[in-house]
Amino acid sequence: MNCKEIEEFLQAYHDGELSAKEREAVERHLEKCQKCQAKLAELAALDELIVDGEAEKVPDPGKHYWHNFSHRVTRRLIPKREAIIRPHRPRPLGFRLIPYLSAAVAVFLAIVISIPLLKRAPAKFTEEEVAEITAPPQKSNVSFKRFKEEPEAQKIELRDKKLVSTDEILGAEPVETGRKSPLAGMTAEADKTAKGAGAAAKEQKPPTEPSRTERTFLKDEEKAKPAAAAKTAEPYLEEAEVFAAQLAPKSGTLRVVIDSTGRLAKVTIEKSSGDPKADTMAMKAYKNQWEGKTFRERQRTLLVPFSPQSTE
Amino acid sequence: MPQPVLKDEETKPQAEPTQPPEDEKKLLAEAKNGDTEAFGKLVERYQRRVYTVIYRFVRNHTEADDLAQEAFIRAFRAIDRFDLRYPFSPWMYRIAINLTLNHLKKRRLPMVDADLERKPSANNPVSVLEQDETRRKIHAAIARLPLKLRQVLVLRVYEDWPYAQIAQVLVIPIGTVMSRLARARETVKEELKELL
Repeated sequence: MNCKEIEEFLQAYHDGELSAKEREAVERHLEKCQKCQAKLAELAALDELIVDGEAEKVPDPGKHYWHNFSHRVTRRLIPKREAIIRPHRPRPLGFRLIPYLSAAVAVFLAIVISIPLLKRAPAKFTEEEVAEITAPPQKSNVSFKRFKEEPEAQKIELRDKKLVSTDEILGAEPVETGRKSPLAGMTAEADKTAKGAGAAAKEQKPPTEPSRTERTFLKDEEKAKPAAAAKTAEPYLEEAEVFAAQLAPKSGTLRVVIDSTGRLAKVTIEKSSGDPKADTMAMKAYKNQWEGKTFRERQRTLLVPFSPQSTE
Repeated sequence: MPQPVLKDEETKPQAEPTQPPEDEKKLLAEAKNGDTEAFGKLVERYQRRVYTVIYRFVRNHTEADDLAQEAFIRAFRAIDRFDLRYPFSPWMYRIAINLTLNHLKKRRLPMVDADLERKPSANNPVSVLEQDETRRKIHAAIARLPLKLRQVLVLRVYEDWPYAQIAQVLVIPIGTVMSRLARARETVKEELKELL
């Protein structure tokens, strides 16, 4: 080996990292090369300077320190099993309030919903309410009157005459405003007009000029029944008279069963009107009228008279 | 009264076996299962060596203490990834040294030897001052070394670690250890030329 090759091995030789064979080769060269010997001595001197030049050896913190060191470390360790089970931090306030807020919202909604329901439970029906309840459905050719059934299942006298009386229909207050009256096939506005017209007829006075609404109604009626409209200037009176003349003399009664929730449970024929088709239509019409609605009554059976109409 | 220092046999790593001793293997297995007590026994075995290596870099007891504790805590957190077929010490040293070097990088301040700064100049003030000046120069020369060179020099010269162990702990080839060591020595020699 020459000096250049030895130089590469000199540091490893100094650090005791060479194999026996390599060490032997380096030593053979060093015996005859003073330059390499000087380099090796320089290396040893540098290490000595570095080691001695340390400010001091690593200070011993003392027995007490070493005794407590492992305890200080292990105290900061979280065992893995506990780390999994134990929650790391409490949940934010917002999350903790969720159950309470949900309960408060539920109570509030329950109160808001129940107030109108509670208000809608009178002890007895007034005549107006009975009239409102018994208002027949739209576009139906069957009229109803509803009565409470007595505990002894006593039949209530049917008020067929009241229903069919033209004078009463024309002279009475409209059964329900804002809704078309199928009895006369009129709107509320038309009902008022009819009322006015009925009074005029009673007093045998000439008809007054119809209002704008009346004119509109008249226009519609003219389209539907051009012949009738052409015959007279008092279409409403004539309409009522035709209705009265064509009304079937016989009437029937429906048996209406209301369940505990106030819903319509069953509609059957208590007394036939004599016309099976009219009976079926009456049942269907009543069902349609009360489908999805709630009665004020609970667990009751009502007897509802109906009159087949042949206005069509 | 001279301050007590750690003896070499307490701080220098013993010849590393290729396989960990059986009792150490058992402690490691228990620690892997989350047993902090078993890990505490491992800490007792390695605490002085880990502390000393860290101290060589930071030259400050408080920092060395903090970093040594942190190194063991990190080792416990990562012990799931430790392979029981290998010895524990290189793995532990690797964690400690990486932690220390990262700490030094963050510190970005020159490595000041706190112990040197507070060294008393009581007896024979002239010679003590000269000695302090020499030490300060040596210390400054090493402190100015790039971290990669310094870590190899410290582990070899101060800790007397064999090349293989340095390579294992720093995860670099032995050839790289030798070249870095040669460059470190050459740089320090240039710095301390007047003292040689």
